[in-house]
Amino acid sequence: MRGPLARSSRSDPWEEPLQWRAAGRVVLIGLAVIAVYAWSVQGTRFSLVELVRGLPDLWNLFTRMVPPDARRFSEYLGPAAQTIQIALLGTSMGALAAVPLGLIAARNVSPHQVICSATRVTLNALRAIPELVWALLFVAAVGLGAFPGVIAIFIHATGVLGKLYSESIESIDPRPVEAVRAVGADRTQLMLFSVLPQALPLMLSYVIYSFEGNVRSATVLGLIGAGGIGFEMQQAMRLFKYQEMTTILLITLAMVTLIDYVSGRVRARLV
Amino acid sequence: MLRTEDLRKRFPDGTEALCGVSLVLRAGEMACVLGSSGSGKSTLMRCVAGLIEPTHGAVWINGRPMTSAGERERRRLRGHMGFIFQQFNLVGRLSVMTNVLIGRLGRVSPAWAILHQFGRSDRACAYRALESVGLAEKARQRADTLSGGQQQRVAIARVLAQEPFLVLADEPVSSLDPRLADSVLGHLLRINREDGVTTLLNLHTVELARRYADRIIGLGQGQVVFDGPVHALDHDALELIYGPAGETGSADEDEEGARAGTAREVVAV
Repeated sequence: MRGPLARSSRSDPWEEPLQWRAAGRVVLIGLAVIAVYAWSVQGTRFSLVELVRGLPDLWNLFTRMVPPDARRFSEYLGPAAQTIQIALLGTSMGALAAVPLGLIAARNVSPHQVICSATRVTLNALRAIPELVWALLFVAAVGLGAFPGVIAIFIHATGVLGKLYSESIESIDPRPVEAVRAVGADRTQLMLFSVLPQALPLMLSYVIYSFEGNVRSATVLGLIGAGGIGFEMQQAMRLFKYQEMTTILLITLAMVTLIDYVSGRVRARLV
Repeated sequence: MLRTEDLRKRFPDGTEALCGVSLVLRAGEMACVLGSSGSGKSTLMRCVAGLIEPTHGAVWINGRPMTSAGERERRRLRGHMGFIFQQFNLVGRLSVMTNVLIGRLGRVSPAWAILHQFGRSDRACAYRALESVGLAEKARQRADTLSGGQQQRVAIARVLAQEPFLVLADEPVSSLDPRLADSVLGHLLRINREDGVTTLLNLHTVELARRYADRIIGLGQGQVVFDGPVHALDHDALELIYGPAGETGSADEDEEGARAGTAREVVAV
């Protein structure tokens, strides 16, 4: 295809230098990426040789894990349920606490710029500290068990959902909000009749998504003594009962898969 | 009824939308603001409703100052002023009935509204409003399932539920086809004639303005360039409002003038 356009573009005096500059940029970016990976491999002492050398041990462990020992199967169902309870309570409490915070943190409806920024910083802090760290703190404070797990999930979920709520609220259509303002509604009415009805489906979908993740987190929390199936897993591992551990792992796998499936279906209907 | 004095509005980007607009609207008037795009029509409407702050000047509604009022007084005044938007601005996920009930928010006790609950008299008022625009049978449907014309009628019902003494309509029919435009403007005219509600609206065509308004206010570059009864709107007046017709073709007939107006709007968009 040699139209007049092709010819005129070749005579463009800017074209060649630009192409060189683009190529130079690609090479630079490529080098930078390689450097970052080299740095990470060096820092973690990552080595394929070590991995291969470890394979016999891994196989050894695997043979000691099968077949699963299901004699105490029914004894694990209670802790598994407790993990779900931890996630459910923690997520629900977080979902409620995050509503006012999310409203304040949303730039389009926040009552004041300073309060808005302060709330955003707070939410960031709650979110930046992992559940595991919160749980360590609360296990130290109130002792072993599911309760510190609930509190840990609650605090983290408040941070995550507050942020996600504020983003949902910032994405609403401002025009109905202006219309409701125009009829003389006060701030609370504005939220209830124009902001929340628009943002709620997305917010709910985030709550369910976060519940999904919190079931996995609650499992991990058990490993540090905050109740549930994770606690059983840690016990079995500590007593070298690898075959029982396999049973626990399978229960966890089934539980997480089921929850992900159900919540995925619910979310698909919401949005 | 409505008085504005030397209303000026400069936006943060430096645009001077209003450059000293002084108007008096008498009770029961149906006045139409005409002007090419960017003449400040929407800004004027929004300043009157207190949705945006004028940079300078004042608005009085029924002798009460809007611009210098506190937030509570402003809300009270807004409760008695209906505003119709070009894009209807319904809350799409809520039912038609709830959207109309929103018109009652300025009157109801805040505690009840928190639970989305309204008293019997409020519901009756909203239902009557919906009946009068012919959409009572859609009350339970979600607002975003309705067509554009129906949505604008729900918006009119929302205004009716406010039992307003002043209606402001900002390009109420610009998003609708001509037949629906007539239906919507017909409802506004009826509210004006039967209930004596003072109405200030802006329209995108001269032809519609001639058919529905008593009084024409021409805006050009943020200033009132024409103000008179509808029969005084002649060729010269249109040139004042939309600029010399020669630029966009001949404007001997009214329709041509109207087209000149819309043509400019299209270009500006």
